[in-house]
Parts: sequence; structure tokens; C-alpha cells
Amino acid sequence: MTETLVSLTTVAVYLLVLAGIGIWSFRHAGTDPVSYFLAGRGLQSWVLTLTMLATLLSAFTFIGIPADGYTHGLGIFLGVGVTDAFISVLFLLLGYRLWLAARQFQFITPSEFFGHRFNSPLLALLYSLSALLFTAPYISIQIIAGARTLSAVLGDGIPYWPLAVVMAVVILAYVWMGGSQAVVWTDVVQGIILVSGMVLAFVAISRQIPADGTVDLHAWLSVPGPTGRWNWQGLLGYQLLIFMAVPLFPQIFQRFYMAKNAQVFKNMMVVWPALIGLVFFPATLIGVWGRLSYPQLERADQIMPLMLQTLPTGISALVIVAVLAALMSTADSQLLTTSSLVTRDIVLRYLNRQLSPAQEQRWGRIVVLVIGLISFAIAIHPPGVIVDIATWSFQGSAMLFPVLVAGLYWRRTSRAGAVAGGLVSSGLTLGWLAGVLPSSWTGGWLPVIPAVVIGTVVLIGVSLCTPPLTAQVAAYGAVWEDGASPAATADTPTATFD
Amino acid sequence: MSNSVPVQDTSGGRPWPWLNRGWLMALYPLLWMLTWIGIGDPQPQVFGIPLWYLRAGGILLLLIPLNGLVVRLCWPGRSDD
Repeated sequence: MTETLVSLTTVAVYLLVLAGIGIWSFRHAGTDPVSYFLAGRGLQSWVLTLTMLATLLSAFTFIGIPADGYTHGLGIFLGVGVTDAFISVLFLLLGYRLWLAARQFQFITPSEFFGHRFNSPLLALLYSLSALLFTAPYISIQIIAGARTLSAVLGDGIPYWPLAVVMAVVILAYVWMGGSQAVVWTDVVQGIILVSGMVLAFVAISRQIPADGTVDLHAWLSVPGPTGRWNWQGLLGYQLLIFMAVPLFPQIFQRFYMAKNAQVFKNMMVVWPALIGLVFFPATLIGVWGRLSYPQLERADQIMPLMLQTLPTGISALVIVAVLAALMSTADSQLLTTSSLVTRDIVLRYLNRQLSPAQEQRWGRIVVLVIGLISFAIAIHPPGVIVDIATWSFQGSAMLFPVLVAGLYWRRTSRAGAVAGGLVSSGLTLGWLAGVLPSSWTGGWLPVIPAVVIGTVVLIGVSLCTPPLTAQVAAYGAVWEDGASPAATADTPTATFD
Repeated sequence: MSNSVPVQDTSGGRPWPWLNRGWLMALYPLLWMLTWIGIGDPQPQVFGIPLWYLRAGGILLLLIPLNGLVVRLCWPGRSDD
């Protein structure tokens, strides 16, 4: 009972801190869309780094990674952790260019880049719809994982659903009130907590492992693991998936727009691998070590909450808060970004072009509420374990990777080529994920891998047969290579495309 | 970004003619390939952790100085950053 009280109190204090940040942000944040969705484009290095980290690390990291390690061995560290660290190079190759373009053309949503760069409303809509389709289930994972964690650890018959409601309400409240200011500053707090919590959990749990305790875990301590999941094709495919998907996650993509200056990207690129290592290196090991304490778990997602129960009360309470920090920091970012997609890419563009900034913010808040409720509804019947749901969701983000790279680096890309490539890779991915296309056609790869390859071929082939977008190439070339001045006047072309 | 352009120290130092941007960026796939070495064998172990796992973790730490080098030598120079 005392343990439950300590844990509950710790969680309550944490939630109150988040609520306080939400209230503070509500009183101090601007009312225009750039303030509400992009925190005024003024994030410093440590703020952007921590919000990027907290947004990326989620239930997938704290619950899913240990669960996968428990079932399939250490391979997921290579598949996800190592890849996430190497993604730091994309802060230079992709993020910096996107930031320059967003600054020049005043982008607020990721789809505005696709629409403006290729003069294609269809491409912008494709990104928005796929982001909405594949993000909503991922938000529901966070709510479910948080409720399960609390329920498993607090025990004492505390029911599951009230905990899910409490979590959802707190997230919705500070996102609704404070927008990106609240999201970013809660992410800073949560980023510090989740890294510290994972390190703390690792140190505490590793001290419980006997010296020869891993003798019977040989299959889990090597690749492909006891189930063969991490054979070379599975490992390479997952690494490619993560490498392509992460920069296209709408909440990550939009954060590229939030940097104050180039130095932010430079600093973030340097420290990023260390932060990723501090989280993923222990997370996978904890899952594998869980085999020693709980060899016959039916639901592998339980392994992290159960391992936390073996820790002293105070430590487990802090790590529980770290778990909640990870998943809440992802859910709030996804909520806000999808809200911006609906408000700006659908409502503003297709329903009403005359919204004032205040009206746009109001719409943003309404959409946050609606998406939150939809995600909660999905959470009622989770379709699978967290890693499986996440893998499905990641593929939806990765399918436009060729279009992104072409837009940033290949001047010869035509509108027709970009649209054709995007539609083909998206259509194939969706066809395979929905079971419409025979899975045997993927050759054993994750569906998005052959879809992206084929989409790339189509993009290149169609671009070479159709005229390039000379005006866009010149405009973007001026931004990326010649140092055009940041947008400062009413004459600067903004993110419109007709 | 041209891979054949010699890397210049953007802080004002001398060019390094023997090192171009392409060679620096080639270190990334090289390090990535190194993380795959020995993954099929749980032995040897240090404190119960396979050596290949520790090596992969160490390679993540190597990314820090590599990224620092790339930031210093390969970042596009702009006057308005």
C-alpha cells in the first residue's frame, strides 16, 4: 500500500507540473499560428534537442523495445537504436534544408513543403492524409501503454480505464491550452526525466542480475535471436524503415521548422547519438534480462512494468514517471502536429480560406480535441503488441521518402515525377499493409521497402520524361545555395500552391 | 553539395586537400557496417553483455566526434545563419 501511495504521489506531482506548464503557456503564448504550432520558430539548441528526443521516444521505446528484446533478443538495438543514432546525419542532410525552406517560404506544416516545392496540392494532401491515417493509431498506443504501465505497477485492483482517461485528459488539456509552447516545454522536462529514468532503471536492474545469470540466454544475446526475426533481411529492412520514416514523422518534420538558427542543428547533431545510446542500449538489455525473472510471459509488453516492480519503491516511482514522460511527450506532439495538418491543409485550404489567425488557432484547438477522442476510441481495442502497431505506422511515414529526397536534392524532379512516385510508393505500401496485394510480392521485405524502390524508379523515369519545375528550382536554389534573405516582407512568396 | 570539393575549415583554418567531404561522409556507412560485426555470436561477454553489443554502443559514441568534425568542416557556409 505504501509503495502504491509513493508511486501515485510521484505520478500526481509529475502530472501537476505538466498542467502548470500548460497554464503558464496558455497565458504567455501568442495567438497566431506560428506561435501556436511552431513555438514562434525560436527554439534554442538544448530545447529543440530535448523536444525532438522526447517526441521521438515513446511507448515504443520504453515498452516496445524491452518487449521485443524479451521475445526476439538484442537485435532490435541494431534495428532501431543504432539507426536512430545514425539519423543524426539527417539533421544536416534533410533537417537543415527544410528549415531554410520553411523560414523562406513560411511553412507551418510538413505538407506545405511538398505542395510548394512541387506546385502540387495533390502531393500535399497525400502527405496530410497519410500522416493522419498512420498517426492516430500511434497516439492510441501511448494512451494504452501508459494506462497499462500504471495499472501493472500500481496494482491493488486499480482499474485500467480511469487511468487511461486521466492520462488522455492531462495531455489534451495542456496541448489545447498552450499549443506548441506547452508541448515544447513539457518535452524539455520529459526529455530530462526519460533519459535519467532509463539510466536509473538500467543501473538498478543490472545490479540484480547474477554474475552467470545470462548463461541460458545465449539465443537472446545474439542475432537473429531465438525466433529468427532479426535475420539479415529483417534487420536491414528495419534499419531502412527507421532511417526513412523518422524524418518524415509529422511531429519530427515540423520540429525542423522550429529551430532558431543553424547552430541549433549543429549542436543537436553532435549530442544526439549519446542521448539515443543512453536510452536504447539499456532498454533492450532490460527486456532480455527480464527472461530471468519472468520466463513465461504471455504478453511481452508487460516486461518493463514488471521489471520496474522489482526495484525499490522510490526508484520504481521515478522510472514509472520516465515511462509516462516518454509516451506523453510523443502523444502531445503528434496531437498538435496532426491538428495543424487538419487545420491548415484541409480546413483552411479546402473549406474556408478566410480564417483569421485567431480563428485558425481556435480551429486548431477543436481539432486537437477531436483527434484525441478518436485516438482514445481506437485505444479501446488495441490490435496488437506495440512494436507491431508501430511498425505498421512507421511504414506510412516512410513511403514518401524518395519524394522528400528528390525535392531537396534533385533539380530535375518534375511535378509529374514527384506525384507519380509518391502515389506509386504510397499505393503499393497501403496495398500490402491492407492485404490487397499478395505479401509474397514483397520478397520477404517489409512492404514499404519494395514500395519505395519502385516509387523511386517511377519518380526518376517520369521526371526524365517531363519538364522540370524551373521556377521552384530557382527559388529553392536561391535559398539553399545562395543564401537568400529570410522571409521578412509581404512580397515574399509564402506557402501557397495553385 | 559536391563530393569532390576539398573540405575547408569553416572557422577560418587551412583547407585539408587530403580530406574531402565525400571521404568524411563515407565514414557513416563504414561505421554502420562495423556494428554488424560479430552479431551472430553471444561470446565473448563483458559483465554478461556480448562484446558485439558493447562495440555497437561504442560506435554510437564514435558518432559524436564524427558529427562534430562534419559540423565543423562540412556545414554549408552561409552569412545569414
